[in-house]
Amino acid sequence: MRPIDWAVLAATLLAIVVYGVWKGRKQRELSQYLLAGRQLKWPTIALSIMATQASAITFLSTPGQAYADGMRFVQFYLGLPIAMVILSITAVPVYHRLKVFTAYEYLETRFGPGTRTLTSGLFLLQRGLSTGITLYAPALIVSVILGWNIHLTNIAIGGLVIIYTTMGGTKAVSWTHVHQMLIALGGMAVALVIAVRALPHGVTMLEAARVAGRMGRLNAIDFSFDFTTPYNFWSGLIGGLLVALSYFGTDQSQVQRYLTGASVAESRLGLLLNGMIKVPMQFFILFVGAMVFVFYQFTAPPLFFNTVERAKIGQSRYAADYARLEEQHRALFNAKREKVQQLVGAMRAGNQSDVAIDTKQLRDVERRVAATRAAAADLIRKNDPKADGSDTNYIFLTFVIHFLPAGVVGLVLAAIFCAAMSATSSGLNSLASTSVVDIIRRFVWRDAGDHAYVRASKWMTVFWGLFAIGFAEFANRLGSLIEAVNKLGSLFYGTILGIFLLAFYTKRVGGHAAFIGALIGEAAVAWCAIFTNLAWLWWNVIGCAVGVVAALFAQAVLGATWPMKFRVSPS
Amino acid sequence: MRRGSTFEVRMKNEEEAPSEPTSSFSPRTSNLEPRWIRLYALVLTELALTIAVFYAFTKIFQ
Repeated sequence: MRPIDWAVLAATLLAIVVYGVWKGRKQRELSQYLLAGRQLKWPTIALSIMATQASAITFLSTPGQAYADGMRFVQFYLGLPIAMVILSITAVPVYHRLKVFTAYEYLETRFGPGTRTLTSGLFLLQRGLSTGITLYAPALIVSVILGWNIHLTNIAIGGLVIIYTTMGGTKAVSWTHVHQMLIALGGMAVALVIAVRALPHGVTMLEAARVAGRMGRLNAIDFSFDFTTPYNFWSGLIGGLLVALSYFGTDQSQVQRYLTGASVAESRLGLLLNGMIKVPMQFFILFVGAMVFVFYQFTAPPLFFNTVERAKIGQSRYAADYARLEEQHRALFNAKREKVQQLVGAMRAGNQSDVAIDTKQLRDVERRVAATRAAAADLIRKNDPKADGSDTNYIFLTFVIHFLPAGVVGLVLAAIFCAAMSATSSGLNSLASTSVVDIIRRFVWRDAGDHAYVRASKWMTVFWGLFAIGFAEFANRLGSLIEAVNKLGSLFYGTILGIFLLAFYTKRVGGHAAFIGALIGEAAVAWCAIFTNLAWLWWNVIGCAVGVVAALFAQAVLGATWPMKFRVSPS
Repeated sequence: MRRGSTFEVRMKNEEEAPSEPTSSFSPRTSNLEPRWIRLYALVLTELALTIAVFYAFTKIFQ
């Protein structure tokens, strides 16, 4: 990092914090602090929704995912636009009419306090942990680049977010999201342009795409049906739809974003715009990763991108074995580079038979490269069973710090930090809302005034910020971060979604049956996660389906003795 | 837990809270006016086109 990079990074982050604090000043009522006074317009809502979902993990781990596994990850988002339509029709008007602060408040009107507490508790657990992972990603960047202590880095980044989220509340969070999202996308666009321009021999973006495609990195759509592979069209459409329904319809970190809308129409338009932009945006980020992959076909990549693990094995008793693998990797890279150049030449000449031969040979070499990388990862794990054997998260970062020019490194890092701050701030903001509205105001401190609840919300923001920082210490053993977050969410999303589906779409299921259904659904998900190799996207389907069926069954069998509805009446 | 406490919580958020639990079956929430249907159709059409483009992209470059 050169001084100009530091200047760009520091100025951007400082500006975001100051802007957030300034934008969120003078808020004394709870609806102002937690819902920005319900006055936001749809462009702000849309960008805030996008910024909440697009964390640093999105910008850091997703390109690495494309490098290692191709673009098939984009299929995970195919169900999202459908979910936006369903939620616009169903959830948004209900939440607006009830003027709830949290999604779980609605459940009490339907199923009673037990179900509300169960779902808000599951949310607090899941979102508290995943906010820790969200915070960990940029800490990883800085610790790798500068060798900083990762604990101190977590505290520094988390501290900045805590400052403006605590002081400015939801208004600060939503308005900073707008700028953070624009900076993040701008940074990625610059990275893409530079990755393509850095390709040698005048290789154009189209030629680079053809090389990436022939090496299996542009596999955006796969219609094959397989329960054990996480990313195909069907798991993306069905599993992804349920994840999106649950995430955007029942996860307070997202629900809170569109509850800030000035009207039902504003909230709906925000959700629908997100539905239209999200899939192309993910495609774009994955495409950046595919271009970085092509870049590394002409420039020698390291055998293993994690410099810390590389240094550790270099000083271990396996150092000689690792050095042999590195030598083998270098030889394979040289062979591969030659084949890529031949392939580009054959493409330019329009010689299809040569293209087919070169492609086949290139894929053979690529398979050997993959085997060598897998052997290196095995060696690293053999040396230290606790070591992180996945280097996916380090690939894009390595490219940024070694190959982008001065100033642009700072810009891309600022983009990644902005994304981290945006997702973390939404997480803390929603955790504080749920803690205060669904737990403290509901059970502990029932008749305090708005001023007291605002103060409690601020303290809960600080508490959850510290909790997230604490959990971030454990996040380095979770493999690909983007997958870790979604896997963690999938443990709970299906069950929570099942409860909300029962609430929105059935009239006959009561609170007790819904509660039992949720417990059985969660047990089914836990069984799948522990005892089967079912791909994690399907956990959402299992949790939702089992929970709904179990609740319907419980109501049918025991309905006579249990109330159908949790009827509300003035006390 | 007293059931009436639910109502208390809701009343803090809204002065005119509905007296019955709300679900999507309520006619007031069936927001399917033509302008919204057109917008929903636009979002779903864009998704269909995106999938078609991605499939073509995969086939062309593989």
